[in-house]
Amino acid sequence: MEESPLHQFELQRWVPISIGGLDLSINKAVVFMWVVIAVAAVLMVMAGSSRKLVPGKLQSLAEMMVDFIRTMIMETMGKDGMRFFPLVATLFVFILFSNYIGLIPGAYTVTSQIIVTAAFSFLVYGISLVVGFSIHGVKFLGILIPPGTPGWLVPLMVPIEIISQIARPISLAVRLFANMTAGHVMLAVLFGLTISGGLLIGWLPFVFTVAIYLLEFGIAFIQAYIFTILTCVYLGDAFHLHGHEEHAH
Amino acid sequence: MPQFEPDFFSSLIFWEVISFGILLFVLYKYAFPGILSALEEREKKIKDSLDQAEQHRSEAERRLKEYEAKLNTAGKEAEAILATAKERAQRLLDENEQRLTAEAERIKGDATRQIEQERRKALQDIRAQTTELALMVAEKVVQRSLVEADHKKYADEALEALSKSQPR
Amino acid sequence: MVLFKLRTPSRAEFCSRALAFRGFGMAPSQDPLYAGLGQAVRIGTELLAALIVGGGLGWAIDAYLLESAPWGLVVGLVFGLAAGIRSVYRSVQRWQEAVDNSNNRE
Repeated sequence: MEESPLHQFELQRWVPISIGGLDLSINKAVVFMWVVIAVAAVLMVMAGSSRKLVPGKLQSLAEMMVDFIRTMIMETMGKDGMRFFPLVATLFVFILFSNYIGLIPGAYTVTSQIIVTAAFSFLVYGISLVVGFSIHGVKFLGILIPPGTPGWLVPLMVPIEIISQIARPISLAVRLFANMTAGHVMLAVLFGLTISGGLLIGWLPFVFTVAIYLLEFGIAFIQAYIFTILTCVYLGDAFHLHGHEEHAH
Repeated sequence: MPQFEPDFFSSLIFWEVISFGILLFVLYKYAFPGILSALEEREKKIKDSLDQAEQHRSEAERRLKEYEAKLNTAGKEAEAILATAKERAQRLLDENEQRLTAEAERIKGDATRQIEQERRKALQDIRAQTTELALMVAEKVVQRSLVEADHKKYADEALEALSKSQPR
Repeated sequence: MVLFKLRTPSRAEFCSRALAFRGFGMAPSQDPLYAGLGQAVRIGTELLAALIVGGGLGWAIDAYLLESAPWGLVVGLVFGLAAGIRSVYRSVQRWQEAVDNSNNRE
């Protein structure tokens, strides 16, 4: 095998930039962030400016996406949650386009960088904490004691809840990163086998490569969706504080 | 795994924040309002046309009911008119019959009375002529003319006696 | 799939279907395929993340606070497992609620 399947994730400093000792170099991942936001912005703005009652393909796709996110917000947070629509929708668009553009051979998957997904997940989690404390004040700490906990269980429940709270942004970040990385590693391995197998047995891994590639299209969407719905759930928990756990909306 | 080497963390975070910020701004400013309003417009339109269809349906239902009610009252009215007409015809018939009967009665009565009168008159005439005839006969018999009044008196007496003795 | 039944829908059906299509009714998040796949992927990571956080906290307490190795790590892992199970339970519950809601709505 010519190269490690992890080789695709390595970065080089293309344009070294350093400000105040902080490395802000431009590398392949940064360039693809720009590609992502450029493509996303162009498509979305185009969809947003053609306001026909019977929409074209682009407009109806964009509308489906917006409707999808709106429904998500409505179901997890209710009407008040709509003020987070721009944040949640942009997050979804960014992740979705990153995942899909990463599937183009030779492109870089921005979301396969743990630090990128972690930055998003901690941003989201941080916002949910800010929202929670600004709405409920100190009472928001009550999120650590699930409703209906008997008194003697509190010392046990609090550490458990602290752990599960800390696990939230971590699992959010790891899930997206791991899925994107695993998919691309798998593709790289299978494609490597195809090349090294030659014509005689290379077709078998090639078939798998194609199958996995198609599967990755689904994964790319599902992961963007999961990240977004969990964002909504965490924000919703901060909104309602226990309202969700005992009974439905 | 290359992703866990922290060499690029600072630049990735920095550029991610910048890119995300730009995308958020652009979409917030130029994309979402248009898409959201188009969506809401269409939803409103669909809801409106559903409402309108519902309204039309209830309107049609209302009209149908009204029409049926009208038909119903019209039928009842016709029945009532027929009934009064029948009644009136019956009454008219009855009235006519009564009147005709009464008229016939009256005519019969008149005729009877007239006949009676004629009979009496005829009887009187006969009596008068009989008196004169008796007088002429008596004159001729007596050959002597009495005072007319005396004659008449005798004659009346004789006639009275005659009519008493002779039952009619 | 209701969409492929070949019969004329009643008026109420039609309305609810039109509304559902526009996102008033059944939410995309309750689409069985995506929700199912999503849940399956989610639950594993949640369990693992809680376990890692619990173990990590326990280990940190061992190493920096109490020098109580290995008890901090053990207790941390137990708490982490409990937290993971709770998260999983919670997400299943939430999912169940969503499914119930969509069933009630139909």
